[in-house]
Amino acid sequence: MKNRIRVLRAEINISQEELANQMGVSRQTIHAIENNKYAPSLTLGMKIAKFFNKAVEEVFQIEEEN
Amino acid sequence: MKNYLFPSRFKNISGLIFYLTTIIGALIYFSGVSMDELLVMKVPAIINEPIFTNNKGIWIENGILDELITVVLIISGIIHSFSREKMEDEYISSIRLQALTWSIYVNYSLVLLATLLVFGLAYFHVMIIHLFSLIILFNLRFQLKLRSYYKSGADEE
Repeated sequence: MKNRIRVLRAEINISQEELANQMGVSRQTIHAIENNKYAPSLTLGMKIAKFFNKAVEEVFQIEEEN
Repeated sequence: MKNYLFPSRFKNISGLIFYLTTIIGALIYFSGVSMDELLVMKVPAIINEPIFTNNKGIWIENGILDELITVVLIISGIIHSFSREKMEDEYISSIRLQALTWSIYVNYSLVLLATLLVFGLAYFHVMIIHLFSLIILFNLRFQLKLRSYYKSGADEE
C-alpha cells in the first residue's frame, strides 16, 4: 500500500513528529508508514486522512500486484 | 482494545533481572555444578521421585537454587517481554507479534531437530534448555527489532 502522507505533510508544513503527536503514535511509526514499511490499521488510516481533511483513498492507495 | 501488557515502568528493571538471571543460570548450568546441593532447605513436595510410589504430600530437603532461578527467569522474562514501550502504538504491537511468531518457529524447529538427533540423558538437557529458550529467543529478537525501529528515520525531520 502506498500513500501520500509525505506530500500532504509538506503541503501544510508539519514534521513527522508533529503528525505523530497528533495521531498518538511515535515518529518512527509515521516514518515507517511513509516509507511503505508498515500498513496502518483502518483506525489510524482514517485518523490520518481526517487530519489532512481528505478521504482515505486520497491518502492511501493499494498497489497493483505485479 | 485490551492488550494484556504490563506498565512500561516494569520494562527496565525486569529486563535487568531477566538478562542477569539468564547469564548467572547459564554459567551455573554449564559449569556442571549440582544446583541441588546449593541453598538446601525443607520444601513441600506434591510429588517427589520416584513418581509412582506413595511418596506424596511430604516435606523434603532440596537445594532451591534451580527453582529460584527458574521462577525469577520466567517471571522477569514474561514481564520484560510484555511491558508496554513508553510510546506503545500499533506498529510496536506488530513488531512484538512478528518477533513472537519468529521465535516460536525457530524454537520449535530447534526442538524438532534435537528430538530427531539427540538421545539419552542429553535429551533431558534439551528439555531443560527448552524451558527458557522460547522466552530468551523472543526477547532477543524483539529487542533487536525494537532497536532498528528506534533508529529508523533518525536522519529525517
